[in-house]
Amino acid sequence: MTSKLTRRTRSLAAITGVTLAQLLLVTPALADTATPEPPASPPAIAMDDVFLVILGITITIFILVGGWLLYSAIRFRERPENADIEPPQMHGSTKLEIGWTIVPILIVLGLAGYTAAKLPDTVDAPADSMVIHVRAQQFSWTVIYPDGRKPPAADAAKYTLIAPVDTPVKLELTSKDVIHDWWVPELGAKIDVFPYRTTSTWFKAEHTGLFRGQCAEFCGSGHSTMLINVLVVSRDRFDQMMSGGA
Amino acid sequence: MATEALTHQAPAPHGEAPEGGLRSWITTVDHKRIGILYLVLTLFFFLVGGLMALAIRMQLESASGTQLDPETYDQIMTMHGTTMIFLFVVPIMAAFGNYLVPLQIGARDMAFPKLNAASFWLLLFGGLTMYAGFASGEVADAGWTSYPPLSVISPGHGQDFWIVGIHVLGLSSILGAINFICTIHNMRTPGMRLSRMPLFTWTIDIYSIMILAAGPVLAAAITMLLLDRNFGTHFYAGASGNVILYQHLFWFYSHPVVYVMALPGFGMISEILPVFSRKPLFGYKALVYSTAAIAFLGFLVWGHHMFAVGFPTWTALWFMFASMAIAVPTGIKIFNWVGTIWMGRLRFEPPMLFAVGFIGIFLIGGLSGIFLAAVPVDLQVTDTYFVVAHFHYVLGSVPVFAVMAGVHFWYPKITGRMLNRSLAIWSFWTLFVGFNLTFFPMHAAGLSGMARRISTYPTHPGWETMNRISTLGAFVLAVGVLMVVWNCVTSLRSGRIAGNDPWGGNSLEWYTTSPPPAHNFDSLPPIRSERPMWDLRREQERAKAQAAEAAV
Repeated sequence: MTSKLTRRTRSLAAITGVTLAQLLLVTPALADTATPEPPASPPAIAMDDVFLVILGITITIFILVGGWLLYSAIRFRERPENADIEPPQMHGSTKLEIGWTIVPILIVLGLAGYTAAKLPDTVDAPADSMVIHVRAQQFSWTVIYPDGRKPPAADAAKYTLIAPVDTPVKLELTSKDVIHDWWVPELGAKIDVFPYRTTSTWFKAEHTGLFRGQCAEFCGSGHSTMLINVLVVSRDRFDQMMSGGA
Repeated sequence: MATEALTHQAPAPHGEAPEGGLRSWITTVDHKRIGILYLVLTLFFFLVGGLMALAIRMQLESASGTQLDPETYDQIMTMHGTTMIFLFVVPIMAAFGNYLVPLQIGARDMAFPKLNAASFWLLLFGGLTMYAGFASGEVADAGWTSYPPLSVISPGHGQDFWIVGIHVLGLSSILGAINFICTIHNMRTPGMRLSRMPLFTWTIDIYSIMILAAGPVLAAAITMLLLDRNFGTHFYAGASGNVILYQHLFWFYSHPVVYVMALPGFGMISEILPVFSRKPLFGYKALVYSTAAIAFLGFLVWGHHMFAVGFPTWTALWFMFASMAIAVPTGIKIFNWVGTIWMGRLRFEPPMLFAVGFIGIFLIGGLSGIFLAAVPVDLQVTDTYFVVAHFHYVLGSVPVFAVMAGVHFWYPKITGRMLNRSLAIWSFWTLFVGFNLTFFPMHAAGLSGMARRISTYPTHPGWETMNRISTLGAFVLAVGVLMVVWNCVTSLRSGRIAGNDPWGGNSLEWYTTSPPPAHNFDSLPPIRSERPMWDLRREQERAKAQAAEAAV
């Protein structure tokens, strides 16, 4: 009997071990940012702020509730000394029910309010944005810059989109065939791209460099290859590159 | 065994003694046999869907996987999701419902036994229709969500097989739902008020109501898809079509279906915890009301699957708020479950291990859902592996832990024999480790930018480590599943005889023999609470004590 119980204790300790190991394994990936690289544009930063707040709340809840579950499972397991004692036959508690209804409601209201306040940053492009049109097709992107300007062919082949730094850019997107989705994690929100419809998203890159993304709506056999490379350059460099096609 | 003496003995040879032949199984209208057929068939589909999952994991194990070409990958990815949802998780709840509901409410059979048989055969034929494309190499490849226009232009007849298959399956589940509702509301034994009904039966009732409300909407959505594909209509396709309409209709069905799949799993957990804690369910009413609240809210939140279509702000806010609100009744459930084991005397028999493991895993899935409800975060992580991780923690945990808890709990009732206890405990730990190894790293993969439904990622070799862990986990998970299957098959012959009530159960199914006779019960005990068997044992003890006193 004793050996059986030790085994049980050991298995319960194993749950704790496995859970902790899991958390340790992925904490670096989770606790960082919601994006692969640090966010570099107001919508991506707003998204990341909300992400970190939710991460804090959920990890706290996980530790409290998970800990309560684990403690109960270990503390109240059957042992020889309590095997014959009938546990208290509690059918519930109205006070507790009200409590654990109201507290989550308050958490949800707070979180929903905070998130709602952050939403405009994520989706609403400033009025003075530079508008760039993007057309998606299986399995590539075609970008039409304002005023008929064009980058040199070599750059156009290499980069999906070239944009100036520190400038709000609004993308207006439409598709030639099926649904696609424009997604560059560090720059901003995903947006689905539909045929016969125009949708939009925006970003304002805070530094120059290459930002990588890909089509995020399954669009057929070449979906994996429908990548996005956004090159962000200084404004001068941008004007210089674009003068080629004007 | 404790109640062996007070439950009735196996009946003498009876007029309708079950025959063993194949014909008797094909023509059966006995809810228990139909339940067993459902169980075997859905578990078969689970193995098929699982093999497809292994193929996916092998392909993704390296950045430039070459095991599957993109077309085959898309077909397998589509059929994995479709199989698991439509052919496994939804109907396995009907399997348990069929077997258990009449027993739990003290009825002889379902309200419409022949309709019940029809539901089962439609499930089989729906599945065969859906798989028919494999014979000609034309298999649906637009994902289990089958969004147009991709699903409209999908070549061959694979997508049509898919649509017709879903129609047949929908009919099966709608007929089943009508049957469950009629049975539960009309055939309860005297004394079995709604307020004394076992939680599992409650969840099957709500499961059925949700299927009835949502099922026809999906039928309409895919009918229009079929017409767009084959008869040149423009419901979704073309300039005059509305491509987003499909997504609204599809998710109006498919989000409630998340709860269709989860609620009966919750019901099983709510049955198992009190038995092995030797306490009544904590907050029986709260659990029933929260189930109903989840079902109701479940119909108002479909838009959270579609935030990326670019909703007007107020639409997005509504769907966000309603989705977050579901956390409240879900939390109530988890709190009441832990309240049930609090101060109990917990016996960690295999069903209890699975049940407690389920709560832990589901907690993670519930919490990751909050990220997806918050619009700004969703717009970052939707359509990535973060979502894949989330829905496997909520939907994968239901079959792998809640249903497995149910399998281990009711196997003795269904077969009359006990499963091998130590093998069952080993399979729990194998599944627990395998599940977390497979799905937890997917959160990290998603946050690292890995989109879902891609078959290669040569530009991001950094994702390989996380994917390798997932692939390794998938094989551990597969070993765990095979251990359960092996245990179920070998215990049919070698398992210890279970007796009527091996666990000290609470509900009526433990009153009759294992397996129960065709007519279920010769007599029934009085129903005075939601735990008639517990009351009966108490009465017996009291009578014994009085007799002893009288003797002195």
